[in-house]
Amino acid sequence: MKVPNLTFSPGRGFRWGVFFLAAVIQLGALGYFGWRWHNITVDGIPYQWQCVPRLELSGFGTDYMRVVFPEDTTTWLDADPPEEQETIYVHISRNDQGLMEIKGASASKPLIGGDYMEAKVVAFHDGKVQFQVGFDRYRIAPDKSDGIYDIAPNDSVLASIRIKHGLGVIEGIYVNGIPIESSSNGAAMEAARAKQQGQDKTKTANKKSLVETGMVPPKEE
Amino acid sequence: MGKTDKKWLEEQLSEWIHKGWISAEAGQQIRQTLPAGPAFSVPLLSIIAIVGGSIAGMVLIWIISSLWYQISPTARIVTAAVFLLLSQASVGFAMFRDRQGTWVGELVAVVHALVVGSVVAVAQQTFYVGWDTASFLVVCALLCLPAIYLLRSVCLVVVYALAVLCWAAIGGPVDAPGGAAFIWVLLVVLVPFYRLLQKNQDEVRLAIYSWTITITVFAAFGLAALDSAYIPFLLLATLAVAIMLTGYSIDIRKAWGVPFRWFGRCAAAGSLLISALPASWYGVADIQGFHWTTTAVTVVLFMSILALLVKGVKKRLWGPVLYAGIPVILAAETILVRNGLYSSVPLIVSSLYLIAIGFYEMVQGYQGGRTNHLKFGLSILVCLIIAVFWGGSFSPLVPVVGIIILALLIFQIRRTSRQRKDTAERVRHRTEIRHKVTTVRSERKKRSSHRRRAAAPPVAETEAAPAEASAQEPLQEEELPEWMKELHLPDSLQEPAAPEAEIPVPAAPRSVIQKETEPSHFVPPVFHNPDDIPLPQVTVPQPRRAARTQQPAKPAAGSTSPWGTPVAKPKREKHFTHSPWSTEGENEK
Repeated sequence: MKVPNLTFSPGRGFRWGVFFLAAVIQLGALGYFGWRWHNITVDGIPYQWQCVPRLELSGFGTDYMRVVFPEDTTTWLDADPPEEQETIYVHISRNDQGLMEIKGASASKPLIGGDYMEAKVVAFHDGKVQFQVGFDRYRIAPDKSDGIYDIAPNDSVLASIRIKHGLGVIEGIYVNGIPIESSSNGAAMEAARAKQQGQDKTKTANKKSLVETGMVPPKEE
Repeated sequence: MGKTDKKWLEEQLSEWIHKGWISAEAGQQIRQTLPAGPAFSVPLLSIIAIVGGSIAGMVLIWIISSLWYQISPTARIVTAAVFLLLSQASVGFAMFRDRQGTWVGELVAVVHALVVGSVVAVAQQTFYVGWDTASFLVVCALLCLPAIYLLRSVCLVVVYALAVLCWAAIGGPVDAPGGAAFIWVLLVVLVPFYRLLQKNQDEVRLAIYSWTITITVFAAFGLAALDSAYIPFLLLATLAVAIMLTGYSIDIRKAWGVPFRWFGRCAAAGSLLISALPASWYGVADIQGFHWTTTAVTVVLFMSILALLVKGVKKRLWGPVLYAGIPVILAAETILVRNGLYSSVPLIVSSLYLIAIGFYEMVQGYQGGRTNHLKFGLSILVCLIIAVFWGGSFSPLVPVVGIIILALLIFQIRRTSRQRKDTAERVRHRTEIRHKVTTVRSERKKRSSHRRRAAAPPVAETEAAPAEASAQEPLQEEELPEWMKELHLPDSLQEPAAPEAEIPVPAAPRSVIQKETEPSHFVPPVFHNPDDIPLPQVTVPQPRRAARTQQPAKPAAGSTSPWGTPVAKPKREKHFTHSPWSTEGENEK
C-alpha cells in the first residue's frame, strides 16, 4: 500500500497564480455582501410584520436600533425535532392587508411557490419551535432614534421587510403608519429648521419677485 | 556616558586584553572607573508609546463610530476594499522579496488576517442581513487560508486553528455542510502544509505546527462530540491511533513527532477507558444508525492506520501494534452492541486491554528508564480504577485484583529472566576467564582508577592527592592474588605512582561517566645544546699500505669470537666402516 504524498510545492508561477486568485476571491466576497443586500432591497417580496424596536446600547454608539419580532413561535412541521441553533425555514405568506402570516417551520425549504425565511432555533417544546430571524437591525440616524420613547402600548408598530431566498432586510419601521424617524426630536428640529429655511426662502422669493426681470419698474413722472 | 558607548568600550577592553595590549588587571580597573548604569532600565518611551497609541486608537474609533452613520455604505465598502488591497499588496511584496517562513512573513500574514477579518466584518455590518459569528469565523478562516501557504506562516496556522476551535465551540458544525465532518475538512486542508515545512526543513515551525494541529484536532473533536447523541469513542480511537502512528513514522529524535505520539497515545487510552464504562454504550445502542460521514471518516482512518503500520512504522513494532489493536477491539465491541448482544464482554475486554497497555507502558518506563512511560502507565491504571468506581458496573476490586495478578506475573517473568541471564553470564565468565598477568593488571588498573575517580577531591583539594595516592598503594598490594604477590616486576614496568598521583583528577559531573584515560606512548624528544654536538671530522684517505698496517691484529688462537678468524682445525683421521647392508644380497646371487 502506498501512502499518498500530499506535497504542496508550487512553482513560482503557480504561487503567483494562487495569490491573484485569492486576492480576487477576497475582493469578490466583499462585493458579494453588497450585492446580496442590494438584490434583496430591490427584488425582495415586501412584507409587514409586527415588531418591537429596542435601543441598542454601546460604548461607542450605534447607527441602528434592535428589532424584536414577538411572533416568534410556530408549529414544527417535521417529524424529527430540531437542534438548538440549527437553521430552519419558516414558511410564510401574506394576508389581504399585506401582513405576514407564519404557516409553520421545518428543516427543509417549502415547495415551489411558497415563501420562507431563514431562522435559528431558540427552543423546541411540544411540537412548537421558537425561532429568531437574522434581520433584527434597522439602520437609523442616532439623533432620530429617540422616537422610540413615544410608542404607546396600544400603538401598531410594523416593520416593512423585503425577503428574498430566506434573507430579509428591514426597510422601515412605522408607528401607526408613520415612520419612527418622524416622531423623533431630530425630525422635529429638522422640520423647524426646514420651516425656518422655508420662511427665509419665501422672504427671499418675495424679494426676488420684486426685482423680477420680467417686471418693468414704473417710470417716474 | 551613554549605554551604547559603555557597551562599545567594554567590547574594546575585552579585545585589547585578548590582544595583550593591556593586562587583565588594567582592564578591570578601567571597567571600575566606568559609571555604573541603572540595574534595570524601564523602557519608558516604549510604555508611553504603547499607552499613547492605545489611547489614540480608542479616540479614533470613537470619532469614527460617532460619524459612522454619516459615512455612506458605498464609502464604507470602498474604504474596506482599499485596506484589503493594501494588505494583499503587502503579502505580494513579502512573496516578491522571498520573506516566506521569516518573522517578516509571519507579521505580514497575521496583519493580513486581521485586515481580512475587519473588512469582512465591516461589509457584513454595513449590508446587514443577519449576523452569524460562526459563519463569519469560517469565512475569515477560509479567506486567510491561502496566506498560510503563500507566506509559509505558522502564526497564521495558530490563528486559523483558533478560528476553527471557536467556530466549533459556538455550534458552527450544526449548520455546516456535512455537520461535524466539516471540521475534518477545515483541518485536512492544513495537512499539505506539513509537507511544505518538511520540505523546507523548518524544524521550529514544524514543532509549532504539530503541537497546534494535534491540540486543535482533539479539542475540535471534543467540542463537536458535545452535541452528539453518543460518545464517538470508536472514531476517537481510530483518529488517535492514526495520529500516534504518524508520530511514530517521524524520526524519534525530531521534536515535532512528540505531540503526535503522546496526544495520540493519551487519546487512544482515553477512548478505551470510555469504552470500559457501561454508560458510554447506551448511546451507541440507542441511535438509529451512524451518520455516513462518521462511517466514512472511520474507514479512511482505518486505512491510514494500515498504511502507516505497513509503510511508516518500521523500527518500533510492538507499541504501535498494541495501540493499533484498540480501534479493532472497539469496532468489534461496537458490532456486538449494535447487533443487540448486550453483555459485560465489551467492558471486560476493554478493561483488560487497558490494564495490559498500562503494564506495557510501565515496563517500558522501568526497563528503558523513561519515566514518562512509567507515569503514563500508572495513570492509566489509576484512571481505570477511578472509572470503574465511578461507573459502578462491577466490583472495583476486579481491576485491582487484575492489576495485582498482572503485576505479580510480570515481576515473576522478570525475575526468571534475570536469573537466566545471571546464570548465562556466570557460565560465560567461567569459560572465558584467564589468569594472565595482563588481565589481572588491567583489572587492577581499572579498580584503582575507579577508586581514584570515586575518591577524587574537588579541584581545590588537589594538593592532598599525592598523600592519598601513596596511602592507597599498600592496599593495592594487598588486593593482589596470592599467586601474583610472588612475582617481581621490574621498576620500569611499575606504574609511576607519584606522577599519576600528582595529576589532579577533575571532579566528574554526576551525569557523565568520565572516559578512562589511556597511557600515552609518546616519548618526548631530547634536545641537545648545539655546542654539545660533536662536529663531523674530516677524514683524509690513507694509502692502502698504511691501511693494511692499521688492520686489527689477529685474535689470539682459541678466541671464541664469531667475527674472529677461524683457527684451522686439525684434520681428523677418517675411519671407513663397512655397512652391515653393504654386502646384502651378494649371497643370494
